[in-house]
Amino acid sequence: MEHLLDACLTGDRKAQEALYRQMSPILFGLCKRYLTKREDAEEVLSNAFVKIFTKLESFEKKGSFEGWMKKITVRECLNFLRSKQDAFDLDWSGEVAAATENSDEAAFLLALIQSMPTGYRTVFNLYAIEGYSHEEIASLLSISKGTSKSQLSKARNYLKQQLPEYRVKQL
Amino acid sequence: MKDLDQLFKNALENHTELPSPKLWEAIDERLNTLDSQPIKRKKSGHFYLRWGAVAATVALIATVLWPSLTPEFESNENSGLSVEPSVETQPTQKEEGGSVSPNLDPSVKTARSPSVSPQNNAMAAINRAPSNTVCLAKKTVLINPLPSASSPTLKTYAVADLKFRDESPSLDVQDFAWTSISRAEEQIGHWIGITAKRASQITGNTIKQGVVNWSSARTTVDHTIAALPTIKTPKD
Repeated sequence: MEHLLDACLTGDRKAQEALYRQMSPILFGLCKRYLTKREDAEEVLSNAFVKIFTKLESFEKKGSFEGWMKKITVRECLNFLRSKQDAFDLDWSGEVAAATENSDEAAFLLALIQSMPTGYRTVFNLYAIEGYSHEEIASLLSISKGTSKSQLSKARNYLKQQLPEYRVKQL
Repeated sequence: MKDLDQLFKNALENHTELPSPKLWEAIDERLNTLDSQPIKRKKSGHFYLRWGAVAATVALIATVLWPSLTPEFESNENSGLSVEPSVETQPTQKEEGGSVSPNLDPSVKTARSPSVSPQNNAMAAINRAPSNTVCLAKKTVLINPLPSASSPTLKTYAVADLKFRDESPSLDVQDFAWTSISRAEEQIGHWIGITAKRASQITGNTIKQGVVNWSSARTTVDHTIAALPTIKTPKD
């Protein structure tokens, strides 16, 4: 990864494409957790890669490069959601994804996450999967810590109800 | 509940999905467009904050004191160098409590353009700015020579000024005064480099001659900032 990063720093377009080929499936998977529509996720992924390539100089090689790219992508997802009128709402969107127990587990769990309202989904993703604290989430979403906690709690309750009984027993 | 979180984390943290095959082409095109635009070098936020705040604050003082200093500046204008006016500022209008409010004219314009040295990027940038901006910036440059060859433009000052006010509101409510611009510059230099608490102590004991009314000056700069076509806040 490091040699690719060095080449990208020089503006080498082939290296940028190689980095894109390598990382886009991971970052697109991330976008899909935050955004329910495929075209929205692709728009955000595109924005994230442009930002990654143009801000590469600011990456200090102290931490993980993949982690840095993920952070940028998460922020782009949040920016996108914020630009929408119903950003971080608490109501059900009515767009329940087709989650069936017959899907493979990752697809099934992803569909469950996508079936939640934006607010629940965003907080759950940030806390449970990305590992942000409630304080950080409150700052990122411009909400209170208490709101972050209550949305996480509601999201967890919902997800637990939707999981098949045998999976709940394993928890 | 931790187990529930872990279940989703394990399954989805590294979940991959392929985007549309055409997406790279769109990104490539955007990068090409960006490559064809001139590169804008960006300083750190600290740089902008420090020098922008100094410049914007000095510019405010200068804007207010300009009428009484005009002859001094004009005589030095062509040199493009720093001016150290020795004149004492003259109060123009008494206010309640003995403080003095200067003449403020937000639409004030420069009598003539300064000569632009090819080496002075800041002056060139200022000459492209709106007229009310030119006035403010010209004085800033004349009074406060810029710290390096890669000078920030007035837009940068305005942004930094806003940022400064957001981040240090305790520095935003004082009426303060200096005997001359050079004294003001010296004072502000110290002022910015120390803590807000100490700054507040200093501004509470400033010399009571040639008083500048801070709130009036603020109004002027707010008009100026509002008149700028765009202000882009530097982001990380």
